[in-house]
Amino acid sequence: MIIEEQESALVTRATQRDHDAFTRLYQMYFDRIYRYIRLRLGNAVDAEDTTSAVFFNAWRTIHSFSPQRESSFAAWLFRLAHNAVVDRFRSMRDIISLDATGERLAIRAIHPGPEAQIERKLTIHELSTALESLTEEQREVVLLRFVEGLSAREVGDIMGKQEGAVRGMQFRAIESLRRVMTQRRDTSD
Amino acid sequence: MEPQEPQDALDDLRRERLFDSLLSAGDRWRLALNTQAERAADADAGVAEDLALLAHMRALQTGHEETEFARARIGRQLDELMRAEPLGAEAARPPDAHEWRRGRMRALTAPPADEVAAARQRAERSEAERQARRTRRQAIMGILTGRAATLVGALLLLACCALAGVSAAAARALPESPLYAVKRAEETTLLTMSWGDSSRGQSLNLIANHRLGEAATEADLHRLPEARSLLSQFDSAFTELIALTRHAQALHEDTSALTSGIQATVASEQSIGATANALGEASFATVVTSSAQSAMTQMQAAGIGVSANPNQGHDHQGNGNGHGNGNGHGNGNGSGTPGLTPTPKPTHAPHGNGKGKGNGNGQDGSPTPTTTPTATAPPGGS
Repeated sequence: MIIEEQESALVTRATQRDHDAFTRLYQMYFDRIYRYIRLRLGNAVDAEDTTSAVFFNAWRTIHSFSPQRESSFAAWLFRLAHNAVVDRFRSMRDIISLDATGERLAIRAIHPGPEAQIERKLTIHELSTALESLTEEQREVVLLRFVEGLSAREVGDIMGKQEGAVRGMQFRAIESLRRVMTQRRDTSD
Repeated sequence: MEPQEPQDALDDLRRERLFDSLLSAGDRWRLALNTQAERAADADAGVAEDLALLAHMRALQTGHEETEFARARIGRQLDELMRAEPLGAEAARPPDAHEWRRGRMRALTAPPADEVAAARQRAERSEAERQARRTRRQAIMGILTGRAATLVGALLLLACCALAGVSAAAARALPESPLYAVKRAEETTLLTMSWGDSSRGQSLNLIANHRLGEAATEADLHRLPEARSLLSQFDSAFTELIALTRHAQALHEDTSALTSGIQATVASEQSIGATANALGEASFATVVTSSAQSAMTQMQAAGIGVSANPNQGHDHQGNGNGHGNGNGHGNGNGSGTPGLTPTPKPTHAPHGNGKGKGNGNGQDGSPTPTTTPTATAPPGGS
């Protein structure tokens, strides 16, 4: 709760063009925004360019942020990131090769120990290739809802969907993902 | 499409609800997803497995070094962006709510319809008068336009020349000079406009060279504290340059131009250190040598080869009849006291025949070789 209050105060100051406040918000959100974009785009160079575009855009437009209109500052920022990724894909549609991006990911799972209940070892390669088999919307839900931990309402705001639709989609997305990963694992065994 | 069995549909719905409730409860009460997976295991193995998969996904993290590098770089650009913006420029722009309120006020205070019609007539008359005046003015302006265009062109040319002059003068400015701010602003702009590791690396190398040259000039003028401060700024720029090179290497980018630039810079620094030592500027020489040593250590750590000491065979006493071991040709024909200030250094090894030449007293005008020499001239002779 204290963290939320602090964030709310920072956001208010940032909307009044306070450099320090915005810099602190940048430090707070950089990891999550970068990880989301990195997983969507698949390579560090594009991810860095797009992340910088997101934060530049956030600084330019933060005066338009309204806590009454948005579900949270995180949702607002992730919507900018989502739009930036969509723009990036539009401009690079013919260049991006998803097979190649899977190989280039330098992402690792921390605490990769085996689960007590389910003996599953998630590797980033598995995840990135499995994500390719999902629809664009399912992939977005998986990353925003599960990797970034946003609420269903926040994800709905970002994607322009109802909260209920996100809840329905999230289950189908994770099920598809699990099935694909199981199939791949069985094939490789 | 195959019709789905009612029982299956019900099962799917139940599983969806179970998954959603466990996930929501986990978020609300900050419960570990693994715990929720254990709870689900009794009811449904599939849901349990889904939740366990989520636990892994939440733990995914990008590589630390990569993230920190991107954070630093974007943070710096963001800082420059924020500083470049005049304070209050955006704040002056009304937010949407203000715009709405203003619109509402206009609507509430709008005059009655007949007043509006009268006002419209007045406005039309006034517009007709304005149009007539404009036609007369255009006739007069037509005559003057030709001359004015010539005058404006001449003024623009003069302004461009003045700006170019300021920029050229700023390139040589020292921190005490009022033009130094222009020089630093140009550097910042250059860095901001550089996209991609290679371009940014070249810009950083240029900036590092500026600091090095300024430090040497300050030492020449016996302003040692200023020289030390500039050298410290050189160290910072160099460290950043090495980090950037390592990042580019990690991404398998072509860093050959960058590494040869780095080698040339370090060779320059070594040369300045040796010259300072020869001139008896022991204090400054120690600082430069230590900085050069640190630079070489960083280079080695980044897997960049260190070029040989370019001063081997140099005569730093000012009566130089020859420059030693290089591929470069020194043409120091000037006279006077030799100084520390380096002449512009090439960023690539100059091509030559392996013999260093240099006739003259005074300034050390030799380009610094950046690669291991192929032939060695005896010290002091050509």
